[in-house]
Amino acid sequence: MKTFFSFTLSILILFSFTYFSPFVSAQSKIESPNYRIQFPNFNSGAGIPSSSNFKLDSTLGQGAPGLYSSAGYKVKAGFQYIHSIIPFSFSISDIQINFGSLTVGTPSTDTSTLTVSTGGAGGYSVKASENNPLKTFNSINTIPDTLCDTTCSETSAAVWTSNSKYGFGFNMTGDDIPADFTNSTYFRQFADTSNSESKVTIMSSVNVGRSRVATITYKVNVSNTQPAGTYQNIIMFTAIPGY
Amino acid sequence: MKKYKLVTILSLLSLLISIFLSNNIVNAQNAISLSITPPIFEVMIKPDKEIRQVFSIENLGGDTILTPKVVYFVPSDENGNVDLTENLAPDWVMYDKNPFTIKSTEKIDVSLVISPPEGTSETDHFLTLVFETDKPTDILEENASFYKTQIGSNILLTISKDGNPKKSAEITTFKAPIIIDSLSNINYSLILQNNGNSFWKPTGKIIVQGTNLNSTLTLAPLNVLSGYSRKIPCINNEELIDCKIAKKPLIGIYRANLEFRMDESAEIKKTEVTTFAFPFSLMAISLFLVLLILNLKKYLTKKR
Repeated sequence: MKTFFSFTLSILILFSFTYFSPFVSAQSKIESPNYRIQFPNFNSGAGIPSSSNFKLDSTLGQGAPGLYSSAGYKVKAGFQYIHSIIPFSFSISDIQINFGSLTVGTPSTDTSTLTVSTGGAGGYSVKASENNPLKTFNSINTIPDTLCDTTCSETSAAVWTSNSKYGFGFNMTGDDIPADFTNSTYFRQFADTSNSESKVTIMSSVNVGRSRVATITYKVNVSNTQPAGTYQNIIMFTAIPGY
Repeated sequence: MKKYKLVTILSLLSLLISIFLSNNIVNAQNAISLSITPPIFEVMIKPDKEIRQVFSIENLGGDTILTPKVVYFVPSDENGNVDLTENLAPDWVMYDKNPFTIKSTEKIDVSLVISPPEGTSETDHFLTLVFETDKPTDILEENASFYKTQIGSNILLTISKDGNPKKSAEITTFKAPIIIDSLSNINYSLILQNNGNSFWKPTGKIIVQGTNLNSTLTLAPLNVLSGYSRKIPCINNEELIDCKIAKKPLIGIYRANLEFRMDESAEIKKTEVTTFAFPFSLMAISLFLVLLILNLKKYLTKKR
C-alpha cells in the first residue's frame, strides 16, 4: 500500500513538471535571449541572404575580392554584423489598460511594463503616440490630454498631483527613460497623431542592452462636467533598433 | 511515515509551482512580445541584380495579426536612432504585404527580395521593415487604452554599378579640453559627417601620447549614413565606451592623433588635438595648506 501511494505521488510530481515544462521555456525566452553568443544561428534562414545564383555564407560575408562582380551584391560585415544576427525584442506586459469606472476628482491609474532587448550595436528607441485623446465611441466627448498642475506637453513632463487638474497622461520609471520624468509625480501627454504630433521617444539607449525594463503609469482624472460614456483610444508603441 | 510526509509535501509543492507557472502562461498570452532577426541588414547591390533576405519574426506573447510594410527612415539624432516616415519602399523591394496571423510562440520567416532594375540611380536607401500588431478586440467595452505595437528591422541599401561608390568623410567635431586638471581624465568627442553617396563605417583609432602615457582608443565601427553625421564612441571588447583615457595625465602636453578610413578605403583621414594638463587642484590644495600654516604661525606669534 505504502509503495503504491509513493508511486502514485511520484507519478503526479513527474506529470506536473512534464506537463508544464514546455511553457516554462516559452516564457523564459521573453526575458532571456542570449546576447553574448557569437554567430548562434548561421544555419538558420534569417540573417543569411541568398540570391538565385549565389548563396552567401559567414566567411564570404567579409567581402572576398571579386565577389561583387560575380554575385552583384555584397553584404557588409564587421562588428555590427556579429550583433545583427542576435534578435531585437520588444514586450509589453498587457494588450490594453482598463481604467474601470472613472470617479470625479479621483484619479484612476494603471501600469504596464515595457521590456526591450537589443543585440544591435546601434542601441534602440521606443516611441509612443496616441491615435487621439480618450474619446467616446461617437467621438463627441473627449477627456483631454493632461496639462499637469501647471503645464506639460508630449515632450516635457511636469508635476501632476492636484486632483482638481483633469485629463489623461503618463509617467515613466525604469531604464533608458527621458530625463524629465524626475519622479512618479511627473507626467506627460501622449503625442496625438490626430493633431499632427510626431511620435515621441519614451525609451532610448545607444548601447547594446539586455532586458531594459521601464514601467509606464497611466493616469486619468475627470471633472464633474465630464459627460458620462465609455472613453477609449489606441496607444501605439514603435520599437526600432539603431543603425 | 516520514517518507509519506516528504512525498506529500513534494507533490503539494509541485502542484503550487505548476499553478504559478500556468498563471505566467496566461500573462504571456495577454502580453505583446515580438522579436525580430536580423535587426539590421546592410547590403550593396548592382542594378538588375537580386538578393533575397529572410527576416524571422517570433511571437512570445498572445496570438496576434501582423501587418508588414517597408518604409523609409531618417536619422532622428546623431546616435543612430531613426524616425520612420510614411514613404513606402520602391516597388523593387518585394515582400508579401498581406497581414498574417502569428500564434503564441510561433516563429515566421518573411522573405524580402531586393531587385533594383537597370538604370536605378546610384544612391543609398535607408529602409525599415515594420511589423504592426492589430488593435486587440474590445470585449469589456470599458474606459480603456488599447495597445498597438510596431517592431522593425533596419535595411541599409547602397545601389552601385561597380561596387565602389563615392565615399567622403568630414570630421565635424574632434575635441578634447584645451586645459585639464591632472586629476581628471581626458575625454574625446568625435562627430563624423558623411558627404558621399554611400554609408560607411569608420575604422580607426585615437592615439594619445604625453608625459606619462601612450594610449590607443579604438573607434566603434558604427554606420555613418550618406548626408548625415554621427557621434562616434570608442569600443572595447565589443562594448561601446566613451573615448576616454583611463590613466590620468600628469603635467604637460598630451597630443591625440585621430586616424580612420571609411570601410576598407585606402584614404586615411587624420587630425590632431592637444590638451595641456596641469595639477591645478594639487596646486590649490598646496597653496591652501601653505596659507593655512602661515596664518597659523602668525596667529601663534601674536598670541605669544
